[in-house]
Amino acid sequence: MTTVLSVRDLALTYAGPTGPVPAVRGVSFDLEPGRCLALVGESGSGKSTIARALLGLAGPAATVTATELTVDGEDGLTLTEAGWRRVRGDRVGLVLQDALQSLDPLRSVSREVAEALTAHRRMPRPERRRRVLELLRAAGIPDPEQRARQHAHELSGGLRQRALIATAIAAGPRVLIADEPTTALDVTVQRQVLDLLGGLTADGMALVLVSHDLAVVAEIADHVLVLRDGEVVEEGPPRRILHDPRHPYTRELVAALPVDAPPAREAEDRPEPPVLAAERVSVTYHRPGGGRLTALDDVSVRVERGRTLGVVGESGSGKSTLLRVLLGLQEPDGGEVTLDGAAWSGVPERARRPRRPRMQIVAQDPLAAFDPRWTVHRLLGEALTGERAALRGPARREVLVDALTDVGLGPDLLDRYPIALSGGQRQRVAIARALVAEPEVLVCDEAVSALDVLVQDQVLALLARLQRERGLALVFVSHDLAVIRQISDEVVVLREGRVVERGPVQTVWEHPAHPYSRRLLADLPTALSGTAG
Amino acid sequence: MTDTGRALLRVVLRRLAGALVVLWAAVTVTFVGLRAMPGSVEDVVLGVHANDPGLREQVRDALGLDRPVLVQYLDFLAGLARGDLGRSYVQRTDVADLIGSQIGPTVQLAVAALLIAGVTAWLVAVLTVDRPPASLRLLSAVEMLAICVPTFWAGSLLLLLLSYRWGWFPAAGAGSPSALVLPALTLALPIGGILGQFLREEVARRQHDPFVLSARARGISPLRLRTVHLVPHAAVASLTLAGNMLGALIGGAVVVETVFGRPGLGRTALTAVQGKDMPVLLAVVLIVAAAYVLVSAVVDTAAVLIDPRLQEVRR
Amino acid sequence: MTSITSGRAVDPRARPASARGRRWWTPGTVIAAGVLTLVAAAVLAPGLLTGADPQATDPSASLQAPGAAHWFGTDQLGRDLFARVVYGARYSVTIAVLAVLIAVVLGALLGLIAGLGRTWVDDVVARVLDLMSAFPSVLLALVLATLLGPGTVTLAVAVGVASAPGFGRLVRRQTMAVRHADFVRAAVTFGRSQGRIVAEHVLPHVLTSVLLLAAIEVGTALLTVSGLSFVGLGPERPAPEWGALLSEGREVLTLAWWQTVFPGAATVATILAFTVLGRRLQRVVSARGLT
Repeated sequence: MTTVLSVRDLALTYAGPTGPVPAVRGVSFDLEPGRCLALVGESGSGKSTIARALLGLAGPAATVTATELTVDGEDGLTLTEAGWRRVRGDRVGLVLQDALQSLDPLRSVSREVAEALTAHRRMPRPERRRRVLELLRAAGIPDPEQRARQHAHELSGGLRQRALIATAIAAGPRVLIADEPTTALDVTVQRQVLDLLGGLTADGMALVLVSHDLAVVAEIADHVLVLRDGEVVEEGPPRRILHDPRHPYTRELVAALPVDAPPAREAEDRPEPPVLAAERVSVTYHRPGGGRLTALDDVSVRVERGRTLGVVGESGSGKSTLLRVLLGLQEPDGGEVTLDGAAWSGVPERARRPRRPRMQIVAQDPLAAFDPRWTVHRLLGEALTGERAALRGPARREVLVDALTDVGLGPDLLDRYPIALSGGQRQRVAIARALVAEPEVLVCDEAVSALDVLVQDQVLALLARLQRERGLALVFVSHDLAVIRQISDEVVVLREGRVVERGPVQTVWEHPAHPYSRRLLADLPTALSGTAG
Repeated sequence: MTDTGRALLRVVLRRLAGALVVLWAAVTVTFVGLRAMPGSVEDVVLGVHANDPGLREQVRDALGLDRPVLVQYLDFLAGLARGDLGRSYVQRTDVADLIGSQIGPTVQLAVAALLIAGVTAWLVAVLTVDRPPASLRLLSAVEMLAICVPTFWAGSLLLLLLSYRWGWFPAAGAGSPSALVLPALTLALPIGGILGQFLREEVARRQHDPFVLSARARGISPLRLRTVHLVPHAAVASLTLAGNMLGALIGGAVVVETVFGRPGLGRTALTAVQGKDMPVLLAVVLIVAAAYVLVSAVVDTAAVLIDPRLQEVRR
Repeated sequence: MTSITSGRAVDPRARPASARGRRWWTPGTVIAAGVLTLVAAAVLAPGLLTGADPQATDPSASLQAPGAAHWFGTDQLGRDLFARVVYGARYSVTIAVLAVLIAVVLGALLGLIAGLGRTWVDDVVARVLDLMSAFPSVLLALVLATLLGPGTVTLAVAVGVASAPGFGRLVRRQTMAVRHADFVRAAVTFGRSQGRIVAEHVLPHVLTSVLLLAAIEVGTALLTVSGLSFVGLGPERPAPEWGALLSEGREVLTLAWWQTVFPGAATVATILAFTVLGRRLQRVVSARGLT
């Protein structure tokens, strides 16, 4: 079969302040119509850089070299910028992550699609309009007449990602490059978008799928390139990569996938009193234009010492409100929260303040959780309580070094600023800081969602160890079911402010009772859901 | 009515209500402040005849100064509602007539300057998107200079060279269109600098947004990318500068009218200050506050029209 | 919604730019620092820079062009223009700095009240700031000059009050942002009191940005001050305030170009120096991620 994309020995360097910085080396692949090639790697692996180079969009600071770079019959090595403009959109389409940012926020969906249509050929207005609606419908957007008039921010995450795909395929390219097309989406929507992309390849489109998520890629790719530091470390069909990874790095990646193994700990039934309990909590917000929004409706959760409660919910499910109520940052309108059996809600802040260190939070973005002007030393020190807060000099330093050691970090980090730390280090420092306060309950709010797969795995292992050693109660909130599965004992599934499902994680996974949880689990990439071999 | 239409109407109505409050407050603050002025109104009105008790009595009668301050204030407000701005103490004419005769040249000057500055800044921003860093640094140095050079100095230098030395333009007056060139250029300088710098930074920053990459991946021309995608974004952002612009225009007008000996509101205000001519000053305050309120209302409405996201953000 | 770092495109061009952004000493800042040193000397000890008396008239040396005897020439009354420019710094720069001080104090106060107070307090302060913005500095100076008579204090108060809303909005925005920041939430969970959080987190943050803005605003204030002084709202003559010098220069523009060129150049150099240093400071601080 003829190839539409041929790349031989692709290399790419950036002009850096101290000389050229290599970003990609020796990458080769071919792609035929109707096939899907996946580029998988962590941030900085060069996968997005390659994707952009295929459109001649690597940027003026980049130097691209290759022995062959053929894009739908055009020789990309000799193309001028004007030549590339003929190729872009018409021969190769591009879909980026997060359509909210990737569609012009000031322009309606129809104008964005129409722009893609008319960039390469003139088209009378009525025909243009007809084509726009056709494309939106083809991208699976219901009621396209209405949607076409709207802007990206007025559409749901799934609809706007579909609209973005419609702009990319509008001019009828034979190759589609999708760079993390499902990354910012909830599971259910992620599934739908993957199905849409799969449908396009079935119709003969050649698809280059760029992703950090091996599980997503395994769904629709025919061939996978695993990239690390700009080089291909392993390639092959996705099943082979998943089940028989050969390169050590790939093995690490696969091992880090939260595959469905039985939970490490036995689900023993200890009738222990909960450390933290919320009983029939409800919260109602007043909408600005009148009307009410019920954020939490009769929600009860509890967690015991040494146990983990997983809270699952998509955006808008009431997760954040529940967290604020549990943390005592917001008073519930009904119901009550108790910490260690004593009232935690409905008490004056003065009474709550001395007990606050007992409950700590690790947030998604550690950088935002650190005062940027403070060193790690001062950041950790802020969490010291009681007489330990009065420690000075070497004694204080010693306590803080211990805290860092506990999370697997060296004492040399103490004098650094948070911005000088890596993502994984930051999250570890955030955990260390929470532990310095000597909490009984640790609330993790999407605490590993922003981390690369391998780091994510390490941080989860760290949390599990600390929990074992200290008998911490964990409340783990995430939209990522695989992570929840891996770390939780019990789960509650939140939807529109109500608990629709609760129970031991094993039970919920095997016999989800509520239709919503059934759908959530069904939408998981098959590599994770346990039904795949 | 469409959603956009209704949202627009709501914005406009709210702005209108806010505008009236600001106007009223501005006038009241000034009125109270000026009544607290040391020295008496009679001294101002009578000048050298201030020591004639008979005349003082006449003036007090004519201006109603014996009535309680509250009554004078209400009377003043009522007059405003009728469009009556009172009579000048010094020039003995109706303030409304005086202002009416002076507002034309100032508006001419301001509009001309704004046009020059706006068009230049736009062209520079759109044309220099992809220039190499060295030439951009030069450009930003020029902008910085334009912002930092006082208008009165720039005006004097232009006069020195273009009028006195080479005689290309008249040195004073507002009679002919050519008399507008130098003042408008002078006034346009700082405004163009601020606007140009802002727009360029905005366009440069937007260039790396994902939607720009998406648009480029459709194969559109660089010109279309700039005019259709980048410029509207920069435009919305630049609307936030409108308040500063207006302040710069008004402040600049006072100075520029002095340098070039042009008639106008700025000069009128200065004369009023020197003569402690309160009614005239109050009228100028009112006009400036009204202009400010009007401009911010228009700007807010325009922002909502260009950027539909703003409809939802507003409380 | 979650944002995933691995999906973000890092623009490689941003790297060299930010490396340059971190640098403190550039040719521009070196020159600016030099200019400010001279200005500081002129303000604190003008006698060091010139032996001439700025007020000493000499009818025999009226309107002399620049030369060895008088570097910047002389004015109509034969006063040495260089001495007048040097001694004028004291007026112009002092008024500008005073104005910025007034703006900072007033603005920070209003901004903190709005940022830390309840919703209705915030609404009221926001309206007050709006009202203040409706009076451009020149207009405010006109009104104040009518009330208090022209002079140093009038000028400083007028320019200060007119620049206060800028500071007020900045402080309000920053206070609100910090107040809702994750790191403040963390401090709450450590059991920190409201007052301590304000002192440890909010104020230092706000202070950094306020000082940065203040550095730039001195330049802007100088611009306004000299402009107002030029139209006769500054210190009484014969104070050699720069705007006033230029106003005298405007009267003899056809006869003595130096009386316009030199005081103007001094003004522009000082304004540029403050602006260049202020902006560089802002860029360095933000490139190092300290705000």
